[in-house]
Amino acid sequence: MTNLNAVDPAAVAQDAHLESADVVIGKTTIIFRRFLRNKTAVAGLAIFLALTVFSFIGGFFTQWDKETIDPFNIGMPPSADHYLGTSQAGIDLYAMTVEGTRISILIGLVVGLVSVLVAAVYGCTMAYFGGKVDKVMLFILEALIMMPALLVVAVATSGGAAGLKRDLPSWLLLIIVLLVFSWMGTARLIRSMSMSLMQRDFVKAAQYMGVPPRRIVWRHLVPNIGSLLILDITRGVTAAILAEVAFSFIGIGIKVPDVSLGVLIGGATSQVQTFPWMFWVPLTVMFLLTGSLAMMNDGLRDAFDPSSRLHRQSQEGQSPENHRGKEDGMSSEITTGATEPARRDVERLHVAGLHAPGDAVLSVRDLQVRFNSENGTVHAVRGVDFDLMPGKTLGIVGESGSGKSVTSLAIMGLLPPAAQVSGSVRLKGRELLGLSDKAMCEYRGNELAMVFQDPLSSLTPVFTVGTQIIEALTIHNPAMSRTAKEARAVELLAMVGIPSPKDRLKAFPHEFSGGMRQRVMIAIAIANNPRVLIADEPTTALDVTIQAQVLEVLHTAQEETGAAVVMITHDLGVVAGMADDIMVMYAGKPVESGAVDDIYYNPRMPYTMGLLGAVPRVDVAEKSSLVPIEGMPPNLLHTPTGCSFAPRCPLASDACLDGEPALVAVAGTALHSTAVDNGALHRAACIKSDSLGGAVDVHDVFAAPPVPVSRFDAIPRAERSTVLQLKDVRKHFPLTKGALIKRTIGTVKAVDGLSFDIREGECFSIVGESGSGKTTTLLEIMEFHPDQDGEVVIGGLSNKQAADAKTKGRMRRELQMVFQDPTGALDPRFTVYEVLAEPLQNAGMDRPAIRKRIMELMKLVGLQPDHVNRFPNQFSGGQRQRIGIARALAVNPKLVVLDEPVSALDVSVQAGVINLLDHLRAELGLSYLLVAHDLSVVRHISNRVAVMYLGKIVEIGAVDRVFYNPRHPYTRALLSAIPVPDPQLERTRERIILQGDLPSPLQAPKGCNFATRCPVFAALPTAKQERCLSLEPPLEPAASATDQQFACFFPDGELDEDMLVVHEPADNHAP
Amino acid sequence: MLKYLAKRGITYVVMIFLTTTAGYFLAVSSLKPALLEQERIPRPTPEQVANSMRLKGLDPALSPWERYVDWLTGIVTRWDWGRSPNGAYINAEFGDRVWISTRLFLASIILTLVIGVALGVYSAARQYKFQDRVITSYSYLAYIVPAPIAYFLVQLGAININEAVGDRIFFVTGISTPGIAPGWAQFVDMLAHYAVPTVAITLVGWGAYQIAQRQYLLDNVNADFVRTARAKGLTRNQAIARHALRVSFIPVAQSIAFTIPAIFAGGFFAEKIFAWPGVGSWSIDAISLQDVNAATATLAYGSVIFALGAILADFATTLVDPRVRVQ
Repeated sequence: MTNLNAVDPAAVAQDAHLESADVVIGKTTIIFRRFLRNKTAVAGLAIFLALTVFSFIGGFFTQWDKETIDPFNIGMPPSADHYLGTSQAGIDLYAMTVEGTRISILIGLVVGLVSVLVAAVYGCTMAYFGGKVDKVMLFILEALIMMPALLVVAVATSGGAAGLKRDLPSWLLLIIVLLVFSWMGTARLIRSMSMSLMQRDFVKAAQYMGVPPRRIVWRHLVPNIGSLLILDITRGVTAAILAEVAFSFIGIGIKVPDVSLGVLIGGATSQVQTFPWMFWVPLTVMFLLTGSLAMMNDGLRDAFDPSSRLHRQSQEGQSPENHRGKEDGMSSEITTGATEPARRDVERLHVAGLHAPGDAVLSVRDLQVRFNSENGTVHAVRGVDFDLMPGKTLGIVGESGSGKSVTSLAIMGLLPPAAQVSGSVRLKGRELLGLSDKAMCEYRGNELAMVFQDPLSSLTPVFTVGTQIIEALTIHNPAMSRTAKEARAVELLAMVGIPSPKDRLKAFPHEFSGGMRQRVMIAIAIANNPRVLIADEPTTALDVTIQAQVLEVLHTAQEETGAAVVMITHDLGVVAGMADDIMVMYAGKPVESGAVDDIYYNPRMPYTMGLLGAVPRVDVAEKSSLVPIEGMPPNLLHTPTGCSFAPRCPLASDACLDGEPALVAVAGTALHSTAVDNGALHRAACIKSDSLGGAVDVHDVFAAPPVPVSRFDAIPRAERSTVLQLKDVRKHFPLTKGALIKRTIGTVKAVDGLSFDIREGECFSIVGESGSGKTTTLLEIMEFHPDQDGEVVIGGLSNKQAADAKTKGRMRRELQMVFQDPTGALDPRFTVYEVLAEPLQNAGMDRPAIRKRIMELMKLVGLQPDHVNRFPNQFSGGQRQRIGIARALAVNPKLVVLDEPVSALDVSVQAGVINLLDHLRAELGLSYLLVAHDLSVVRHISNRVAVMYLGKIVEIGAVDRVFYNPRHPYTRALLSAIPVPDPQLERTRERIILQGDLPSPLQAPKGCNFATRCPVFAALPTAKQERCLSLEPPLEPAASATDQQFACFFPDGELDEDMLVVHEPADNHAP
Repeated sequence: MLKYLAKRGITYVVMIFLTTTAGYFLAVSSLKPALLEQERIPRPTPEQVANSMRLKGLDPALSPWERYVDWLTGIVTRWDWGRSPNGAYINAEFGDRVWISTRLFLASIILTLVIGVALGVYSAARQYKFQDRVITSYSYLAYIVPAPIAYFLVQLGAININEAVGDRIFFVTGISTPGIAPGWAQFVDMLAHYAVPTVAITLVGWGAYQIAQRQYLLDNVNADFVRTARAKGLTRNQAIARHALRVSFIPVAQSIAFTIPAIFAGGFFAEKIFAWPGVGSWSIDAISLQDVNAATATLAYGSVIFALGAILADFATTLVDPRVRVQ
């Protein structure tokens, strides 16, 4: 489906069919259906409509009206003549209720509708203009909120003292006053929603396409806040009816002779004992009215809000390929539907005869995890077995949804109660599964500890770091003294490499960087010397240099505590140097396991082979296409009947579909492997594993496309024309401090004098840590304007000329962007057709031409053309990114700006997108400006590279030159920080571990920015250091006739030994 | 911090000035005390009315602008908020009224906050269970009943109890029985007067806090840091109690801080229904009595209370959330 090189002939045939197939199920229809499914909401709507109809036609069913006095029936209870009785004065209550209901509903509807309309206009205006207009309008808004509305209601409707108001009925006055005071809250909400929408990628995408602001507001903003508006109308109607009743009740709203529900209820209070019907009837009607609106509001929220609980669950099942971190969320999402877990594990395991080796510290047998979801039971983990020996490291590798994180949470007993877990987990021989939460607490944090993926959210924001470490100590050592605990906490912080640990105990998590917080997490985990430490993607959220530091800390922690480690990751590089054994998981099951060398050098399962082939290598210069694994992982709602990988496997045959293959020992390796002693037998779940050993090339197995060749490759760079040029571009922000008091304490030089150019047909990459200014650079290019500091030349036109819309439009057409998050970059309310049509319409194309072009684009990026009527959420992440690429290519730009285009994708999908980008560059003669944190991807795809540090380029040149012979110490450190999926190389290579984080811009020294962390600087004699500190090194060419420049005075200097680390195989956790 | 407070303070002073000014013009152009005077018996001559009004600084012959300038000068130079048509001084009346409002609302607002937050936590811990459904449904019910009607229903209930018992246990209106002997009898009398309004205001008020606290806590129950706390060896409930609760309290604390000054501001509906002559009912009476100065003064007071609440809310945030704390 996604294979670029083999366009499905069936898909092409769809073209003609598509011309007529323009039927899109309307969004309104979907919402309407969802609303109808909610019985409460429908009931609410029915009651509301019935009351409305009643209030208009009810009067025809009685001969009485609200003014006629029936002198023979004064204060009569309900009867055949007066359905609801009469008042003290003999007026028919039924007639009054009909009239009163009508006035109340009228007030509610008018106030609700008009106030939301006013709010929408006001809120959007504020968000759209921003700046001073926003400030003034906000001030007016707050002043209005401040004014007690009631007083004004009273003044306006009081006694009719002011002559002019006598002519207006009191209900009209009340409407006017309620209107004045009812729209502010909604306006504020709309303002903040529109403002956050303006920041969304799909709005930015439209802006970068050159879509005029008016159209952006109309096509993107309004539909996306539309649901909020409708919700607010029902809320506003309710509030207005309540206000009317409340005001009229105490006598300051609607005045007699006008009738409303409030007037009726209020007028009857004194007679509630004598004529109870006069009070209770209008009160009941009011309850029905407000109650029905509340019920409707509930149903509407569910129908509109895609993030409402019910809806979210149903989406969870549809897109198995979520953002990397999302898999972990799966467990916590599903909280409903309690089911009694099967508690017969022990018996079953005895029958199965599975016994753990006696010396294993952690033994897992036949671990199964099921979740109940809206769509059925998700079988997330389907039989995991492993033994972990003391002090050893097991790497569990797999993509999103493979069940690796669920496995770890099941071991820890941290899955939600609704999860059904079965099998056996033994810690030093003691069974953990089936223990109560309380009983598990004895092990958790004590013998069994865990480090989680996202350090930013894993620490409690309101407690100090010290408190949180000490808590871990207190739980398991109640007798320990306060001073002893504090001393231990300091010791732990020192162990994980936090400078001045004693002072830092009192710091709050938000005062720490991500890397530092992950160190604290590790400190907490090892506080009680655990026997088993589970690390779930501990470095995924971190920069590569920080990742290296944290991996180092984990290594130290393991050495200090002697704990066995389970390392869960999607990154084959991260575990290569650390793990003793590897288990590869796919679709909830281990598909291959064994000693690390067996897995990396002799994979026997096509999936493992594919994964290894899909990763670009930073250490390999020779260009070969990546191995794409087509398709998506299976939906775990259905138990696979054959091999779960078969649908994506190029080697699959009919035999593969006949039963799921078991994980069995690989022939040939079992006897001589050194791993046998440790139980890490090489096993694979593939019926063809025996034929896959040795010399089988993964590129042949997976039919990797040939390396594409661009027509520009043969032309020397100097002879190609320039598509983008930056000359001394700067972007400085004022740095403010404090959340409440904002004061400027310095300047952030996010981009500080950047110059480079991109020629036709080349891919230019910018790399660096987060905070180095990569993204700001992209924004400066995309948002070019004449007032910029520095010059941006796009296709020969300078930003200084871009004063008029026409020039801007011409420049915009040369340059398009692909965003990092494929989901955020597509308006969820657009079909693919609408997404792709937007830039074309903007370019003024007519309908037939647009349709034709969209079909071309779909084929170009390897999507089925008949999918154009689908919504983005019906596609996988990789497919969404292809849609994003197609949109960027729609207007035939010369240059495509790629902002981390593959970082949100799984490894196997990433390879397909990288291959596509490579292919498009060659076929269409495109140039790319790529920003990526993954240097392997950069090396794979780019021709030239620039390394940025604190807003400056420290090294720039041809990618092979820079990567092969990095001159700047920072480039060297950055490159050395990248783990390589090659265990032997990882174990022996020398690594530079930079100390600390990217310094705050305030601490930037006068001379070289990098001096504070520089391994060369640290080893220099003081005399030479002086030069680095006082002078800023200029960017100078490395040697004659090579494309490489760097900014360092001492590129050949010795490296400081403290910052160098080598993990000899010998010192690597000897048994 | 001081600089920030000063800045916020100035913004609010400007805002209060503007709302009060707007309120004054609205009042002065629509309230005509002279008309009311003329309905007195024996009917005074227009000259007499004009004269008496002029003496109280309420000269109807002056233009609104001239009256505004006079009124403002009085406040700025002498802190004199003017007089009512019946001759009473606003400044003098004010103190008593604020004290009455405070007495009416002090207990009920504290009860509202405590009960609302406690039930919010309780219902969040039992999400979707029977108790949660009952408590949360009640809160939504409270939302669709207009406050004065709810007060009235409570009043009605108290009357029914009185009738059922055959004795007057609760007073449904008023502050105290005049001329009651001090000591135990006075205490009982006070309880009998306080019970109904306090219960009524509390019953109506806690729903909003219950729903907010429940929602914020549920938002945090599955937070990563709760999982970390459990991984340390806390049970789920301990982890929620020690970690999630504290974090979920941040936004609640903000709204509590905002509510606190309302104790002194009273409420229109409650004071009207229970016949306590506090600031709230004064503001309504001021209008029926065509009292420009009293109406404007209560409006200004309401704005000040609002501003205080907003500033207190900021304070509360810095207090409970270290992330916005300023060194």
